[in-house]
Formats: sequence, C-alpha cells, structure tokens
Amino acid sequence: MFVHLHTRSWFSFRAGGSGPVDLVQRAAHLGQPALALTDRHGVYGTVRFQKACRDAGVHAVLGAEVLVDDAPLVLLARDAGGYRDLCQLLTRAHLAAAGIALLDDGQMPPDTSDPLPTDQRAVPSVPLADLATLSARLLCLTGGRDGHLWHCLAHRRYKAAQHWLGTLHDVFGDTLYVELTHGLLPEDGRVALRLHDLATAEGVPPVVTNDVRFATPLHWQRYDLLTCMRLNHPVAGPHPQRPRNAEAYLKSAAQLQRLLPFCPDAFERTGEVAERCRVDLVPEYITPPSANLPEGITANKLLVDLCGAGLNRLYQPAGQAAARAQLHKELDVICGLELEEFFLVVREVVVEAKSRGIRCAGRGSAANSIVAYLLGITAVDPIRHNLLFERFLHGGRKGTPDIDVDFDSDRRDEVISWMEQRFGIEQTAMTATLITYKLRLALRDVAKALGWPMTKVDQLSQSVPSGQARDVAEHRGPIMKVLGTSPLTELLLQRVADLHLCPRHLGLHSGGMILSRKALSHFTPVQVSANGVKVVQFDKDDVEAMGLVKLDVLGLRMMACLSEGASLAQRHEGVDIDFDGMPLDDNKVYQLICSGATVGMFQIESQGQMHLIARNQPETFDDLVAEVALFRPGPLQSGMVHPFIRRRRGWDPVVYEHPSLEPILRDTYGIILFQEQILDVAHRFAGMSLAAADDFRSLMSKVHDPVRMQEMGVLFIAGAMERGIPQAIAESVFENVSHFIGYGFCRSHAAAFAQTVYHSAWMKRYHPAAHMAAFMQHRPGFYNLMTLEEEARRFGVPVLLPHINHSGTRYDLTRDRAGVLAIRKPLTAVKGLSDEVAEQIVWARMAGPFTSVEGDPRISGSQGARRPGSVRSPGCGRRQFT
Amino acid sequence: MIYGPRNCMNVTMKSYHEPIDVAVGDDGLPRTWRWRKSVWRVLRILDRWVLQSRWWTRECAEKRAYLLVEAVPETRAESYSCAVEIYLKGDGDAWILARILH
Repeated sequence: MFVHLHTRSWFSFRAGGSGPVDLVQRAAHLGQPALALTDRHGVYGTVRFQKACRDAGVHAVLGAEVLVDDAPLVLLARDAGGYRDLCQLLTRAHLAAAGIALLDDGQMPPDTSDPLPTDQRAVPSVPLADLATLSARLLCLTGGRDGHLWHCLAHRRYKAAQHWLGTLHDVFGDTLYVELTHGLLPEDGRVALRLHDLATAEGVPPVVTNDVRFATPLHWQRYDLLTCMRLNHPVAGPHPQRPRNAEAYLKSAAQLQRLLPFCPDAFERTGEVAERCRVDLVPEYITPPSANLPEGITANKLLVDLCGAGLNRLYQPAGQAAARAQLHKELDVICGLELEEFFLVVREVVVEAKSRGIRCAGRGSAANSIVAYLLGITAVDPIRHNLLFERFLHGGRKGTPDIDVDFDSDRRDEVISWMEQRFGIEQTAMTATLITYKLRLALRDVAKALGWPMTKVDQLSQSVPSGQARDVAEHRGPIMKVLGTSPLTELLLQRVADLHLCPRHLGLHSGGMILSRKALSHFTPVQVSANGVKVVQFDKDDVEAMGLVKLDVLGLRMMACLSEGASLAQRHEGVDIDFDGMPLDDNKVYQLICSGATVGMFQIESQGQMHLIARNQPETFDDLVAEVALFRPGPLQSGMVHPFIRRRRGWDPVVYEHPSLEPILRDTYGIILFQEQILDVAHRFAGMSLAAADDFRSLMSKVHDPVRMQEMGVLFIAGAMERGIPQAIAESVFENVSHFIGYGFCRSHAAAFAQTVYHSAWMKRYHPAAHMAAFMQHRPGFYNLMTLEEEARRFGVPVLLPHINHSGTRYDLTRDRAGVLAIRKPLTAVKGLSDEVAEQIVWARMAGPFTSVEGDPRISGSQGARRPGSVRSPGCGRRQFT
Repeated sequence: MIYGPRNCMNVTMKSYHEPIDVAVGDDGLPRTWRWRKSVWRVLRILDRWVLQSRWWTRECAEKRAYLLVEAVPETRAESYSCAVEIYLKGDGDAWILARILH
C-alpha cells in the first residue's frame, strides 16, 4: 500500500496549489487509504483537511514542513502528544522569526508587544537542538528536493550528506526516514539512487514521496502563478523557485514505481508510516475554560445560584414567573451541553471589567439569553423584548456559543491583559482570520504577475466593486476598458476566477480571544502578529471545530465616548450617570432623535439613517430596535423597509400570508426584520428542526448560494406543505424569506445596540457639552471635527480654541466668559503638535503658566504651536485666531 | 558510468535540435531512431526529465519530455556509444534530437 506523506496544500500560503479537499478527493480517487498534510511553517489547513478525510473515508496524517537549522524537514505527528510537540516547535520557530525569545523553561513570554516588523522577519526556523526533547513522538522525513540531504547529493557532497543523515539519526532514531522522490527533473534519477544507497548504508529506512505541491496537473498553472505572486516576480521571467514542470502532483503508486523501480519496500513502508500516526483534532465535544469555583461548589450550582440572585434583583415578584420558566429552559440546555463554566467565565470577565470602571456590554445573539442577562453579561431583558433563546443556543446547535462583549476601546487592552493573566499566557491567544483571494486582490496580484504596469494594476482594482474572485467574468467590460484587448486579458480572467477561496495570508481577527483549559499548544501553534498580538493558526470556524471556546472582546469607541462623557459630566456638572439603571422611555430623547439631529449618536448619524428616521419616527425603545435593524443589507435588499414603515405608521394594513405567521411577525407588522424571525419561520412554519432552521438562517445571512438556496427551498416548501399549508403560500413565503439575503441583525443584537443608541441620544439631549467633547475625543462616528464642532455650536455649546495655559491633551470642558459650559480643544488639535509635545507642554506648565508662545524655550519642537494664531496665547487679540 | 550533463567534465555536448523518426517499444520508450540517414539504437536510458514552460502564452506553451540515452549508430559497435539527449515535444507531436555528448 502506498500513500503520500509529503503534501502541501494552499494553506502553505502561495506555496501550494490545491485546497485540502481537492487533495483528499484525489487520494480517494487513486484508492490511497491515507494522506499526510505537511504545509510549510504551520498546520493552518489541518482542521479542514481532517474533515475532508473523514468525509472521504481517508485516514488523515497530520504534520508540517519545518525548517530545522534552515533545512526543511517533514515532521509527522504520531499521536496527540506528537501533535502538541509539533505545535510547540512551530511556535518557537515563529517567535524566533519575530525576534521574541521564549522564557528559560520554554514557555511563552508574557509580553510579545514589540516584535520585529513583518518585513524584517526571517523565515521561521528552529535549531536542531530543540528537537532533542521534542522528537520522541514525531516521525521525520528528510525533506524532498528542497531538503539538505538531497541538496548535498545533487552537488556530489557525499560526506556532508552522510554527516547530516547521521546527525538526524542521532536525534530521531527509528522515527527517521529518508525521503526518495523523483520529480522528473534533470538528474533526479541519479540523486534518488544515491539517496537510496546512502539510506541503506546508514541503516535508515527510505520512503517514497512525490513532494506534492498540488493535487492534479491541472493545478500546476495556479501553483506557478501563486509562486510568482509570492516572490513578486513576473511569470515571464525565470526564477529558481518556480516549478519547471507539472509533475509535483498526487501521483499513483504505479506512476512513481516506473520512476523509482529499485525500491519497492520504500513504497510499502509509506503505509506503515501512516499507520503509526493517529491524531484527532476534531472532537465531538467542547472544551470550555476553567471557571473560578468556590471550594465545594460545582459549576452547575454556582450558575444556578447566580441566576437566582439575578432573577430577584432584576424582576419584580409579579413578573418573575415567565422569567423563571425561561431560565429553567435555558439552564437545561446549557447544562446539557456542559457549558456552565463557559458562562461563569464570561461573567467573570465582565465583572472584572466593571469593577475597574471599564464600560462594557454584551451584544449579538447572546443577548437572547436570560442567563446572560441575569449574570450581567448583557443588559437586554429577553422577556421584555420577546427574544428567542434558540437563536443563540439550542441542544442541536453545533459548536460553541458566540458571545461578543463590547468594551471601552481605550481600555480593551487592559481587559485582554487581565484575561491573559487570569487564564494563563499559554491558554490564551487571538483567533486568526483567513484572508482569501477576493475579486480586487486577485485582480491586482494576477495582473501584476502577468506583467501589467502598476498604473494599470491600480486602475484595474478600482474599476471593479468588491466581490468574489469567481465572478470576475461579470466585470469583463470595465476590465477590458482598462486593459484593452490583449491576449493576456482572457488569461487574467481565467486565473483570477481560479483563485476563488485560495488563501493569501493569515490575518488577525478583530476580537476573538480563545480561552482554553489546556495550553494552546495542544491544539495549535501560536504566532505573533505585526503589532505583537499572539494569534493561533486557525480562524474562528476551525477553532470552533476543535471544540475551543472564544470570547469576542471588542473595543467600541462609543463605549469609550460614553465613559468619558459621563466622567466629564461628573467633574463639571456634578452629575453621576448610571447608564445601566437608566429607563429607556424618555420622550424628550425620542423627540431629539426624530428631529434628525443625530450627529453624535451611535448607529443613527449617517445621512441614510437620518432619512429613515424622518420617515419612521421612532417613539419607543422597540421602535429604536427596529430602526437599528432596518438599516442593514438584509432588509434593505429585500425591500422590506418601505412596507415596514408604511404599516407601522398606519398607512398600510398589516397582513400575514398565513395565520401561523402572525405570532412570529406581529411585533414587526408582518415584515421579516430579524434573523430570529427567519429561524422561527423555518422552524414553526416550515417544520424544520431547530438545527436545520439555524442552518437555514445562517444561509440567509451569508452570500447567496443558488444551489444551496434551491435545496433549502425544496425542504422548506415540503415541510410547510406537510403542515397543511397550501403550496402557493409556502412558495410565496419562501420567496419572501429568500430575499432576506445579506447580513441582517438578530433582534437581541439590535436591542443591545439600541440601548447604546439611546444612551448616546440621552447624553446629547441632557449633557451636550460633555457628550460632544467626548465624541470629538474618541471620534466613533462618520463626521470630521469641523462638522462635530458645528453640531456642538448648534446645541449652544461653544468650542474654544486650544489655549497654551488651559488646554490639556484631551478634549475637556470649561466655563466661558458668560459662564456657559464650553468645550476646550486640546493642544493636540493644533496641526503638527504631537501627543508627546502636548505632554511636554502640560508638564512644563507645572512650573508656571506661559506668558507667550513665541520665544518660550519650553515649547521645543512644536512648530505648530509657534504658528501665529494656532494656539491662544495670553493677551492675544481675537483677530489673531485662525 | 552514468552520463549526464553535469558529469561531462572533459566532454562537449553539441546541439542539433533536429527532428528524428523514433520507433518506440510497448512501454512507449524509444528503441531506435532514424537521423541523417543513420539508424541509432538505444542501449539504455540514463536519465529522464520533463520541462514545461510559458503556459501564459498559448502559442509558445510547451512541454518537453527529455530522455538522456546511451545510443550507438546501428553500423557501429557498442563501444562507440555516446550519450544523446532527445525529447518528445508537446503531447507526443514529434521527437527531437537535442544534443549529443562527444
């Protein structure tokens, strides 16, 4: 039995030409019962690879190409321990490349915030000495044509080859194999024969590989093009790293045996090697982080007790029955999925943030949960707002629940730093995001590689909208207009379409932080991003598949704005503002919103929202929730906005296509507005199970897939008809639902956001000076400072120029000559005056006020401050202000 | 001794790039070829490789499957053999004699 043990996928980031699914399908087609995935410098594709192998009935062997003493070796994990060792090696390699040293005990350092810039980093590599302690559960192949052994023999340096092989043998012992390959390149036959002789002489068993870079010869062009793009080299020019033929694909045993007829045992041995490797990365369970439990108390008991206390605190006795019933229902599901500790951990994070005075609020689908509400994770009452827990979690839902928490953006790093200390440096890291080729990026990279000048490349990417690479042909017209009719233009279109879903590089997820019970090296290597953030090698879908739990720790500048506004109001107006306890029913606030004066308000300050508000005229909190949800691609593209407003304003009657839709859509006047409603319609109207209904909802919120939509349509209509609904009505309802494409809010998310909308509107209504000062400081909205200043003045808030003796480094409040509360611009509002210089001025002022700007030696390096009129000096006339 | 382009320390390879008329065996490998009125006999395959290039220009896109063979003109003894580089062009369009090691 022969299997391929050295295979790269496109998760080698432009150093492999096929996706894991293509590779697995090819192996299955050839009747090969196993396949190894060994991408460069990482295990980025292993989760998808393992899933594809499971689906195809192929045994997955996990490994990686690792640079050891700058020579590539293939390392395969024998078991879970071997996989962990591989992850640790890769972590070391990546940290070393980033210029970060591990601690003496090999652990991750607490501070990775100062890595080398990415363009100065070396290729990740580990010294051979590191393998001494980590080799026991790894199998090693000597690397194919790029390997040091091959290189020595190709250059007739037999002694050097012998020495290297001996060194490897000392480290790996009987887990070392010499890799024989024949890529149908000049002298490959000779070198393979010498390798075989050397292996025999040194007593190291050989195995045959094809050093695979793509699944079939059809993918060779893609691989060559990706190589050129990675090397920033035009396709028309030769380069030693480019493939010289299309032979590095998944070949059959027979094809390779014709090339390497002298070593039949090396073929058989590949199957034996594969059998020695058994790792499962995709368990059927979740591994939540460890909660802080008091002595003798289980997670379940603690959760129940905390929820009970929350129930008594947040609900009046008369209203507790419904809440209690919902609580019991949710606890059954949460406990059934063994997620008690997960909820307790999230609560711990929120409690810690609040204890430090850091403003935070849970949002997203978690706001559907009364458990989240009672624990203080979210601030939205799900009973009051008729929210759907099943949108967040249900027994049939696969994977970990998604909880997003917004924090004051200025202090988000403080929260992350605390989480690292609390849960462990080794147990926490950020989720990656996979940047794949989309239309514009693919056009740029391919056009550049095909030799078009940069001016044309720039014009090209601006001539098309954002979209999928596979849809490039739809934009043939604008592309031809830029490039003209060239024989290469058709090739460009083909090659761009071919890059659909191909990964380009790894990015950093904006907030997904993994909290693991075990050290992350059990699951993934850890790298360091350009700005020093620890990041795993998997995106959120793969993290979820591995049963790891992530918490989205997001920084919201509006949170920072509200915090700072409240602080300014407290200092200058003597008012303590409690946003969390604030009723959401002040008419004056809604009047302000409906007046259209929404600059400075969260989510509703855009021109489009202003127009919508003018028509919709929200008067209650529920109206505000709908307002937030209306202005999203889903409702906008499905044409639901106009009918909703007309029905809400009483201009059109509210009608339902079928009576069974009324309880689902009553709150939104018969219009589908929220994701939960789609789930509810699929479940209650079309009879889908919760799990299928959730898939259906998920499909609606992503890019329109016609094939999947058709399949879902058949299921939906058949299910509805089984419930006695006439076919015509079932089809019509599906038609309406299917138009809800693109992202729409879930009700809980809209409700959570609507609270912040209300708070920002309340601040503007009652404390405009404090709010606008904070808004100018944090700039969480659309508009530039000039517009914000105008808005402040419209609200009777003067905006004063920076003053050398009165301005600090942030926007602040002061009383003007008339005693009116005014905004004082900071020193940094002066063009050219940096934060550092502003700090110096403030410090220097402690020795005494400035008497003038010009000529004062304490103002060094601040050309901006010296510019006449840019900063108010004592005694300067008004006409000197710019 | 295995001949190969890099083995040729004191020999020269002369380029010809002329078409030859090849007779292949059941395995698809050349047995004899006719070139410049002579018939050559293949004694053994020394090396083989494939080169592909210029996929981005349809007109010039080319695949060449090379063989380095030890061959001898039929009228000479085997001791007069030499290393010859031949290749099959494209998808089996034509055989070309590229170079001979002298």
